[in-house]
Amino acid sequence: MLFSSITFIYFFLPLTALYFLVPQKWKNAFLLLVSLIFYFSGEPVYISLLFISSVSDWLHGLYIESHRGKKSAKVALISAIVINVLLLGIFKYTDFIIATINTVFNLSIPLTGIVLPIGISFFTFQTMSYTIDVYRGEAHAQKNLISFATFVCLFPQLIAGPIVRYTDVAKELEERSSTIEKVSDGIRRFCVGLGKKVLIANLLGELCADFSQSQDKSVLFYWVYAIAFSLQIYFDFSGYSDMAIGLGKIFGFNFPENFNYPYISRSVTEFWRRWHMTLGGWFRDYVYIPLGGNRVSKLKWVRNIAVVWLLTGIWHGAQWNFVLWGAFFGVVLLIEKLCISKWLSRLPSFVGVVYTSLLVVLNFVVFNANGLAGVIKDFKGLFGVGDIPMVSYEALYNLKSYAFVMIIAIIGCTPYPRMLWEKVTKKAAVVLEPLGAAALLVISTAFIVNGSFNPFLYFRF
Amino acid sequence: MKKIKNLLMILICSVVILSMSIASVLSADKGISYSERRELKQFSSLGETSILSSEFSKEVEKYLLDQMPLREGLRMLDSRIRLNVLMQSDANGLWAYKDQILKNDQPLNEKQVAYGINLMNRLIKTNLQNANVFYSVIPEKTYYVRDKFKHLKFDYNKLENLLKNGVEGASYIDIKDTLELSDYYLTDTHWSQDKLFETVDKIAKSMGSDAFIIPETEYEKHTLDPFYGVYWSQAAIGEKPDKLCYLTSDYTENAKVYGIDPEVLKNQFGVNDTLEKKVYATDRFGKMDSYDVFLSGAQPLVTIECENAKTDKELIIFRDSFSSSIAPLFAGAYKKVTLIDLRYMPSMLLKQFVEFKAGQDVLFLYSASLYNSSMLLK
Repeated sequence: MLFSSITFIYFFLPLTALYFLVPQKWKNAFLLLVSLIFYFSGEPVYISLLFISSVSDWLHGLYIESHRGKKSAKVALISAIVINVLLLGIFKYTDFIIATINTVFNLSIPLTGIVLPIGISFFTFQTMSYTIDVYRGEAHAQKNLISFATFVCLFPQLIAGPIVRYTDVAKELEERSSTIEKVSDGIRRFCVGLGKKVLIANLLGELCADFSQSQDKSVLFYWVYAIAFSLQIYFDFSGYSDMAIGLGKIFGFNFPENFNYPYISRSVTEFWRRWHMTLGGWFRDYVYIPLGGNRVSKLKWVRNIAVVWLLTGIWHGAQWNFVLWGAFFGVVLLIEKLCISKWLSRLPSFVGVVYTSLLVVLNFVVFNANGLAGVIKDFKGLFGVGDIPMVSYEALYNLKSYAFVMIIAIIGCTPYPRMLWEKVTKKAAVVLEPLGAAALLVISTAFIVNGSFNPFLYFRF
Repeated sequence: MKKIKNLLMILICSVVILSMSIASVLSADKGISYSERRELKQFSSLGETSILSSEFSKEVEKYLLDQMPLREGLRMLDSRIRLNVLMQSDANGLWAYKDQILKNDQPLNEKQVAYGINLMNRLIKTNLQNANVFYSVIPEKTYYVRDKFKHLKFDYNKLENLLKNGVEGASYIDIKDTLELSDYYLTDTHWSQDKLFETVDKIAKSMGSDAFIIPETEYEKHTLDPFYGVYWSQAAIGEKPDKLCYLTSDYTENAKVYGIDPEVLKNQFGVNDTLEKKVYATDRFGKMDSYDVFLSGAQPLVTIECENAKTDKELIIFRDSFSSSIAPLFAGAYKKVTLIDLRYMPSMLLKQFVEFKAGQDVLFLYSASLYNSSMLLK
């Protein structure tokens, strides 16, 4: 079930409103129940994985806490991590590994055809972080299975993040309040996210789909596509995160922010401090720092960066172009840190933003390519290698048709619209803000009803 | 003030969501969307998919989308915002130019065209050896704006070359120059019957029957309105509707129109319909597709018999929906006009229903888009 679906907005959400009628002690159980309904509607069979992951980490957490300081606690930690990694490995990477073996050794081992369970990359990371935090003593083990399962299965963040750590919501799982202010903020945030997803990301997605089906490609069309896709993925994912954070607020949770205007970054290093912040933070705290971070020899530090970025790449998808995507960012980050960080900081902001945007846009072409062969094809198109015209009528038509949407999207990537909105509505916010949110809701509904193009990019991760 | 704002936010958004949910639950399912010309998904159809399948939630979403309250208004809102606010060149592939609603075309699909050519050649070889066989291409209305809108993809020259090089035993009739943009309905894909005299004349001349074609002056013009064409409903941009025009003469008034024997129709095609039909089924106006006024719309086989025709000649038209409106204009020149729609009539069954004779005029008259999706032909 997508957040941007009629089923969710007009049927599931009203059902969840019963939450406010449920007695305090049953609120977690209620949230767990509706979260399971939510997941079941999209993955009726794989709901078992949620149970396995939840129960496994809950038991491991209890064991680790009761054996704190003992060697068996470490064994339990390793066991919990192995189970999560195995779940992820089997369901996400089996066919990728088989296909790679087939290619390297010229074999023809049949693929398993295992379907990727929705959200597995997110919930396995969340449960792993819990067990690690309990082992480190940064969190107390949750004694109540219902409360723990509520943390794992909580529908706003279950299938596409933000990656909420147990420590982020531990207190709120025990005691939280849904004030009028929080609910109102949550609704506003949800409507803004819905608008970002439906009114911008989906439209840019239509442009990208037109590009991929076009038989009249040109260098211009490749660049229009590259920029459009970079904007689409931002509005798609940040819109979803906004909706998730908004829904969390409605039920009294404060989820961590996931995006902070990444396209105004002046370096790729800064970009990754602003993009998918909860994933970056996860890898920093559970991979990079345990490996020694930057407090090791230069060679080991390079190794640590390489490990983190190869993992970041492969986390996004079981294809080699994702590995290349992660590796590219790793290399650029190393170059920035080792060679050009001082030089970058002296550059005018505008130049830094252009430099970062260019690298990010090019790397999102790698991200969205159809395997490594697709990467080569797309880059040839971008740089006019081979028999490809500079301009085509279809490119001009699409550029004209989507120019305004792209301009809105580019401006929307900056904090200026928000600042302007706050200034304009300062005196009349009492009316304008609710009306604006409702208008976004109605217009997004119109776009959902009239269009069939409503994918969500991060579901495949 | 902040508290009032927060209360208003909760109140307004809750009212929007709950009113839509309640209206959706309380309103009875609509069976057909006349504006979209399709059957809407019904609640009862959800039982066909297992609840344990991930497809179930997709089917539920489809059902809710189809039965959404204010669906028409919401669709129009989407199109208006795309065209007027976001300044997009089209809304879901459709756009307006000089009051005409036009649709972005698809590139030429050579595989589909090759399939069509093979089928035509097979029919010519097996059934039409001693007939006078012709073929033509009805241009989509975008053909007449392609100089202005360079992004349009369909390559008419290539289609004509493929047909001329591929079709054997038939002559090509080029009718593109007999038409112009204004000969098509503003809101529909089809041409208007009262604008077809030049086209009819060109086809008849090529077939040697132009001397017998009933002149425009002998027709009486009738209109039915409002005619909401297929693009009107797809575009949902609220353009003014058309007036559907049909022409009557002594020949059309006295013509007898037959379909397939109802028993056979039911047994072989699974369709219930009457044997006798009308040249202009005006009772079909305002139904799912108002263009069905012409010869009752899509039929596997229709015969127009005209006892008072000027000749004893017979014309067979292999057709799509465009021919429903042009065929009556041949009524006075041919004693019998047979229309065969191979989308519904398998070519293998043709001999069972149609008597092919030497000297018959035969015309394959398909729109460019049908040539481009020839695999629809059986």
